[in-house]
Amino acid sequence: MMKSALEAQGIGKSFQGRALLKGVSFAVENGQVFGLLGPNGAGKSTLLGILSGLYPSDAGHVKIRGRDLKEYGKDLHAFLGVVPQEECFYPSFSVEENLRFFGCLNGLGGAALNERVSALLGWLELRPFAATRAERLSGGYRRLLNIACSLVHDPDLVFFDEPTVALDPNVRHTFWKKIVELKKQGKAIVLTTHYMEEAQKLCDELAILFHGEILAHGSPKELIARFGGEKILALRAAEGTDLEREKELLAGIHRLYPKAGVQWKHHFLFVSLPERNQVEAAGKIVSLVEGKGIKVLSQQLKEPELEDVFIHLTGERHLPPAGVKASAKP
Amino acid sequence: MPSPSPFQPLLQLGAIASKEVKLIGAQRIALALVLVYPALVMLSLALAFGQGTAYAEALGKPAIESVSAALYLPESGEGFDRESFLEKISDQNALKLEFVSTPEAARQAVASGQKTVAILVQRPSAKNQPVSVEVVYDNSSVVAGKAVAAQVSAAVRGVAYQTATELLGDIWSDLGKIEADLDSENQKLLSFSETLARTREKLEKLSQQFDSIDLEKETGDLDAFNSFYGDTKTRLESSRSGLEDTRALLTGYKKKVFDAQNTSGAQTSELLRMRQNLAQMQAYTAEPLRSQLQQMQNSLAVQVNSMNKVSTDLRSVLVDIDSTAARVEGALSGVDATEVGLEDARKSLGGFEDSVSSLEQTVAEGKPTVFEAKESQAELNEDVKKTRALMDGMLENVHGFKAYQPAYLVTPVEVTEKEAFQASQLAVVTPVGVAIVLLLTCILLTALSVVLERNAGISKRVALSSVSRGTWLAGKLFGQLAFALVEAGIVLGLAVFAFNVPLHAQPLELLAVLVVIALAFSALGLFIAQFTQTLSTAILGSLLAMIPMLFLSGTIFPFEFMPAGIATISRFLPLTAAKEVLLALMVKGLSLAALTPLLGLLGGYALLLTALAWVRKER
Repeated sequence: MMKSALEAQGIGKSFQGRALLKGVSFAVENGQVFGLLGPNGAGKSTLLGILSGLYPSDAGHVKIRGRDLKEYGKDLHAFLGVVPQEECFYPSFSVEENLRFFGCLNGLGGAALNERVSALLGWLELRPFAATRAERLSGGYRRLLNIACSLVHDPDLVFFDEPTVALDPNVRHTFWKKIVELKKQGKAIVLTTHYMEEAQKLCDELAILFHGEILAHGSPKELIARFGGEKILALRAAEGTDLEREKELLAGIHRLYPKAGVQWKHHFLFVSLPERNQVEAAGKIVSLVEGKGIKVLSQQLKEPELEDVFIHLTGERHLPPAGVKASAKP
Repeated sequence: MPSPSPFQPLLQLGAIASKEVKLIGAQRIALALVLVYPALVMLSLALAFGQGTAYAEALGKPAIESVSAALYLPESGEGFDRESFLEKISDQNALKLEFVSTPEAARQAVASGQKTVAILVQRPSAKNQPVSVEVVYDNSSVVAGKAVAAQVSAAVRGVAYQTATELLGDIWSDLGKIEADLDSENQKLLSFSETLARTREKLEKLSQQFDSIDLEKETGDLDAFNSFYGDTKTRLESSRSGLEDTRALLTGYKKKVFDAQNTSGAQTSELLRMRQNLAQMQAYTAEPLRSQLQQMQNSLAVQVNSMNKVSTDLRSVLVDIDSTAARVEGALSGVDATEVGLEDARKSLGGFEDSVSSLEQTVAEGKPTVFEAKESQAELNEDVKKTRALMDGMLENVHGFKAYQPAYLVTPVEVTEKEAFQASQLAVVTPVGVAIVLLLTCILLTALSVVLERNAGISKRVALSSVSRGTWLAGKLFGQLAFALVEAGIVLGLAVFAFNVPLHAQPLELLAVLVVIALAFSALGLFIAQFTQTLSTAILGSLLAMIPMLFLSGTIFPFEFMPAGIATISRFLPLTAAKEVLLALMVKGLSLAALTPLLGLLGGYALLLTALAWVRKER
């Protein structure tokens, strides 16, 4: 029987009396991309920290290549690569110097190191900048260098912690491409993200992590089928409208459709519609909004997506608050 | 648009100032350190220099008040009393003395850093020559060395002062005695003078009395009379004696004659009685016997007749004797009369006897005076002899005083200060400079490096790599070490080539020492970095470690002025050890072996702090 590249069973972790992870279990196979989808503060980075041996868990156990994590020492890192969310390299070193240094830290040397550095420079299109100081690279290339530094020892199991946060769409697509290539190389990949699109496109398996708990687990398609449910009314009010203040409007929608999921952000309003008479229901909600003197600029009925699964499961619209970083981790 | 307030610039200024305070306040650790930092400066200064305060008293007196000194004292000899010198120098509170048997041992005690100063006492070449004292001080601390030397010299001068005071005291005491003696002699001389005057007066009077006597005449007369008187007296005595002898003879003869008379009378009676008896017997007696008795009666009648004749003769002798006795009595009367005449003649010489008696009295009276005069002279002689001896003693004392040269009395103990190490001030401060440069460089750069790497996520990446934390920390330390050696090299290079500071240390030994120091300081930086999150806290945290060391390590302010307790603790500071090791190697010329304890301390710091940094991260 093939051993899973990674197997987490009942992982629990508390910090200062607050439960950060509550019995998280999943498994990742080689050649598979496993996504941990959740908002900031859901416990994704804490989970990655435990999986990579940085912090101990309070409960449960982790097996890597069928062997308990606790049995590993530094030898774990010979086949584990972690791509941190932040840039972790020496800004004053050139791209190649950084790669060589971290390759050396991971036990590479001589021809093997030369070969690996060269391969990474080529694969991540960094060769033209090999001699450039890292601090002079553009944001996208710096993120690529960050990946290169984590993969310099060619690990079989790779953790990506929110790899595409704050990247422009082009670079993000490049990243996706590279992750897919890694997957094709047979590497087991664990990816944390709060981007639904990224998770839907890249992940073979997904776990929706919310307040330290896995709410749902499966392939994106399975999850949408299982939890996507109704169509969504997406309503765009006039700019300057703050739906946050319209408590009465939101209460009115709940009175009309008590089971409907309602989310808002600034002047956007999302309502999951009941299974029947969806057009009529949409009309009633628009009338209710307009009845409050709010000008509706556009309205749209759309098919459910992974995001709708998330809303369904968490009761929250999963939009990352702009400019706010992840909360403190243990 | 409203017109701007005239106070707008002030409001803006206030807002900017308030923002600065908020920014600092936002970094709580940095704020705490900023607040602790000035307190620490003052605390360090107070610890080092809080003399007079209660806690400083409790921590003991500064070394400068009781300098630790190795003392070499030669044996007592001409002009040097070891015990007296020892007593005086032991009285000096400023010194904590330890005796050594040779001058070399004393110098070695300073060279090895066991003592701050060596006091070498040299016996003077002759009496009344100053005792030479050499104060060899540890000049490896520029300020403290000179201060200590001054302190010890002052203490030795204290001995000189005491000695001078004693000498002058002795002289003063001798002068007092001389003054008393002179006074007493003066009194005696006055008394002599009076005695002499009295004796002279008496003698003069006696002389006058003697002058009034015609001694020759009186003597001649007296002699003539005495001669006559004597002869006459003798003759009279002789005559009387002859006469008295004769009278005695005559009395004897008379008595014998009486006796013979009595005897003859008795015999006559006896003869008569016998004749009677014979006659009676004859009547009764027949013939022939009767005839014989008759014959016998006839014979007895003849004898009675003879006896009667003898008695008649004796009576005639008695008459003769009486006649002769009468004549003798007459002669004796003549002698008595002559004696009376002689005594009368003598009596007639009474005036002469008076004058002789007066002369005798005068002589008798004069005798005590002469005796007294003789006695006085004898006493005077004795006293003059004593006075002479006293004067000799005084002269000897005065000669003794003259033997003291004024310069010797002022400075009976001469002090010279000598540096223990032949090194310029710059040569002495260069090792201190190296130690400070290493301290600043290693602590700050290491702490900043750790914090920078942590903030750049490098630490996380290292934790996620296969390199061990021990290797990582060691690698960091050795990297810092290389830089520290360059820094030290710059200081030493400039000192040697630009300022001609001689480099006595063996290059390899110096390198080894620099390595240990740099590792200890870098380890301290590593340790500090474990408690700091930002660059500002790393810098402030480093300052917190460096400031007390700079103030308490004796690099800027000497130990010798700190309370003893603080000075003792300060000697265990890494900077102190670093400074001492470098000074020992570069200035004092000690070997590495002699520096083992200090190097051990620094090595211990390096290991302990690295281990603590390692343990904290692991935790």
